[in-house]
Amino acid sequence: MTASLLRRLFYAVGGLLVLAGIGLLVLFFTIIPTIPQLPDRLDEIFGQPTEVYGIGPSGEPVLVATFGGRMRVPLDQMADEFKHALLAVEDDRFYEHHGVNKLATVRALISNLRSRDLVGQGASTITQQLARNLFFSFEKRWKRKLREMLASFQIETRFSKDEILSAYCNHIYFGANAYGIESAAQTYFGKHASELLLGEAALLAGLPQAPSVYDPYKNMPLALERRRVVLDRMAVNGYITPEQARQVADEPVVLKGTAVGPARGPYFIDYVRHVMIERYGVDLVDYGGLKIYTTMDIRLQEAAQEAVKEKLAELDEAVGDSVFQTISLEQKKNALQAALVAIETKTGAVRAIVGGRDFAVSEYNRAVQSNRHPGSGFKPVIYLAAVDRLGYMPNTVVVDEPVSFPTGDGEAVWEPQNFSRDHQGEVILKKALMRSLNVISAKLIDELTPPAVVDYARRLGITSKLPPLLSLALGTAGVSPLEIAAAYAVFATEGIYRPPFVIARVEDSRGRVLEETKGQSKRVVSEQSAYLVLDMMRGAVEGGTAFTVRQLGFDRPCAGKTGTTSDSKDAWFNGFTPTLATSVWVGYDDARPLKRIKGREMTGAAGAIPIWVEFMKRATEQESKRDFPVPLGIEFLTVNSKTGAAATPADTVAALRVAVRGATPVTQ
Amino acid sequence: MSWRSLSPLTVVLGGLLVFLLIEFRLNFLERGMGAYLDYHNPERPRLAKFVQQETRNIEARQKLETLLDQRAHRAEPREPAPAAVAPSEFVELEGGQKLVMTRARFLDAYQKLEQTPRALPPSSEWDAALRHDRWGKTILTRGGWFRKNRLFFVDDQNKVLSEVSLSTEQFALLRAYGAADLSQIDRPHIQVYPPQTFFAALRTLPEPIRDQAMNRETLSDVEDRAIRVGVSDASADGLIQVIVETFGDDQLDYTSITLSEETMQALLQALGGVSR
Repeated sequence: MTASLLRRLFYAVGGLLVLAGIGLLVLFFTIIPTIPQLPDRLDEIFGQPTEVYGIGPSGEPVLVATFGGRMRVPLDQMADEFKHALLAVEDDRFYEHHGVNKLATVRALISNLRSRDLVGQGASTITQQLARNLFFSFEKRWKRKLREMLASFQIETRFSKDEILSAYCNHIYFGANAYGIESAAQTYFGKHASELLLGEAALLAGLPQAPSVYDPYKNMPLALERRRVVLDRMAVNGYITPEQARQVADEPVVLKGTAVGPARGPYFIDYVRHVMIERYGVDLVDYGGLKIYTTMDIRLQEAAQEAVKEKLAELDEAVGDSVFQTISLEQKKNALQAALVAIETKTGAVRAIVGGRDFAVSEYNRAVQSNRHPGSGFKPVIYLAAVDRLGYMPNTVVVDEPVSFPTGDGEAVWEPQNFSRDHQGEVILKKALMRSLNVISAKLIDELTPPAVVDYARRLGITSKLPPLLSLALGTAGVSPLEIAAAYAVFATEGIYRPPFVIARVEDSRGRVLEETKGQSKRVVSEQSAYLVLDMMRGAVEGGTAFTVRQLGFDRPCAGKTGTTSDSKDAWFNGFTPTLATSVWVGYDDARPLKRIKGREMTGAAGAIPIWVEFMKRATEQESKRDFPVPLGIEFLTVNSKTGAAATPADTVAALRVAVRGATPVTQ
Repeated sequence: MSWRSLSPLTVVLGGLLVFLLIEFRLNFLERGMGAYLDYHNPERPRLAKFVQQETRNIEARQKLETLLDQRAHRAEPREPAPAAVAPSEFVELEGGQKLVMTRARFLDAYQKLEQTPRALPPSSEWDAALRHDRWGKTILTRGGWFRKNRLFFVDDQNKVLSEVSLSTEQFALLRAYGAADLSQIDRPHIQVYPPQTFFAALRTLPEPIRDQAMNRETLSDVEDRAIRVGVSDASADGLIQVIVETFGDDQLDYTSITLSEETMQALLQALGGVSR
């Protein structure tokens, strides 16, 4: 009876096994055709990325971003700490299995059967995860899992363990738009994968399981908890001691970058990408493996980002906006914005670009894409035309009085008003610019004619649309901070226009040069004319609308002009030292007025100068103080600011030092 | 107990256990399947995304090679270094009534002035002024009915260190030389002769050769106005360039003549015989 029962059972089990075997074979041969062909080399699937470099503190190129492809590094250029951490937490039997960890799979299967969820818990090895990342979707279906398992077998047969680990580390997603360990190390810590310390390596190794959940930018406590798990696993596997694990787990994490986009100058890099795609097309930029050496000075770029961040926070408070970090994404999109462009005057190389306060919130690059009215920031163009074409000088007397101009529209007239709503009467030109008198600008443009002013704007490199109207006097045609910074640089360079550029050199992966820019230069106005306007703008800083520059402690030789548009929709300050021309814009994207809590309008002086000063202090701290060179044929007079005549001892208040065209021999 | 006494089930289960143990140890099932899959790898389709990616990679590489090739074969020279636009060294003010020159520009203009005998400055007065080492620029003021043309040697604050008077011709020539960045004559490989020397040598040549060198019309036209004459070194094809610098209406002008080898030899002999 017992023997018979056993025999029956034997045949039943045997039959089942045979049936299962046949079933598995059928399944195997059915599924095989749906598994994609494997490439010859795992590392070359995504092509070589284009590398983007900035300029480091000693002038050395520093990798700041990559375009397309995957930033690949060989295994021996990854910190051992990272490899150990990854193996410990993701697949501690990696060097023993052949694609699948059977014990772990059986454990997961039992657990899933208990929970009646066949595809719930996974036990994926590094090879399986790689197969999933490369060839399959992330859909949780048993067929996909089966295909992934079979592909893993083939991957293990076709490639060595080190090749598999290398491909995994170079392809896996670490969050924050970082694919591959090198990119992740750069994004989170601003360093190479080879330079990662134990704590950093453990944090990164914990990310691939759930990059968005453990994103340290968004959820540091969870990221630290995950790091603790990784460190414990490392201790269990003998890579580190339990003491080390505890010690490192308690260390704080210092992140270097931003949550989205390159850590250094996301707007700068975005603009470089835009320029490159315009020149070479997206395929070459993303898959050509190029090396782009940009003009970004990393020290200046970081100073610009910091200045914008810090001073906008203060402005938020002044205008009664909520603290930026605490508001929702939607609110952030409507928050106060700023843009900054800094150009090296002697070459035209753009050294820093900030196109907004947070690239993760808004990728709109206000530094190069925006077209906001410059307000009085346009006046130096008009004054330049008056000096160069009409022979005006800073001590030329003009009359600030009520004026009206026919608009050509029937009876309508245009009556420009000064910001202060009053009139100064007779005043010298320098004083008019220092006080930013709208009436004088309108009179000058009327005398010059609008097309003549547009001509001077074009000479200074302003390419935006400028309708040839009298209202140009008040800066009513939109320009970008990049254009205006390049235009102001002309005053610092004695009348030489240098087109701004962001790309210094482009090479292919073998070092062959595709393009090289060393800057161009063209004389657009005489040195004397440029200097006379410079002198007038210097007056604005020393005792005019831009005096805040001095009040905030920037004591280097500099000149500049504020700009505030009607209802304070835009606040500008464009200023320069002999070496750096910087334009700062502050405003809301939807052109809401910038108003203080008490309702007063915010000017360029209050809105933009604090950012400008903060940036310029840091940007120029390593330079020796030097003044603007005085061209031949310029001399200085001290004159009465109302009459323009040589000042007398009685003119102490009204006396003003002005630069004029001249060379009077002084007999000793 | 012999093995015959074991039930077939035990044998099968035991065998299965051994099979599983060996499989767990050696992974031969995975290896077998992996090898089979790898053997048939070429027969399976490639993923569309890889095909697209590879196409883009290839296109990018081809475009890159084309661009590099174009750059290598481009006829135009490499982009020059950033143009160092030097600050002006000469400025005219008040409609040309006042001229300002840097020290370097003035010395350059003065050197040319020295080569024009008819405008040669009185040496003692000028030498003392030129020797002053603190002057950084010069201011030239045009005179009027009652004022002479003056040349002031000044420091950077326009303080006069010394001054001399100028003839109208000297003023005009200094203005012309100061304004010109580089005249045709002031180039390497050009020997400058006073016009009297050159034209005297020209007149020593036999008439047919002289006429061949410079026709009479040109000769009479330029001789009176000539202030310097430049004679170039012989070019590879044996030709020589003669540039006559003339001055009239406050303007410098240049007349260029190319001489044949024969004429050149005769002229060089004649010039060699005339003291410069």
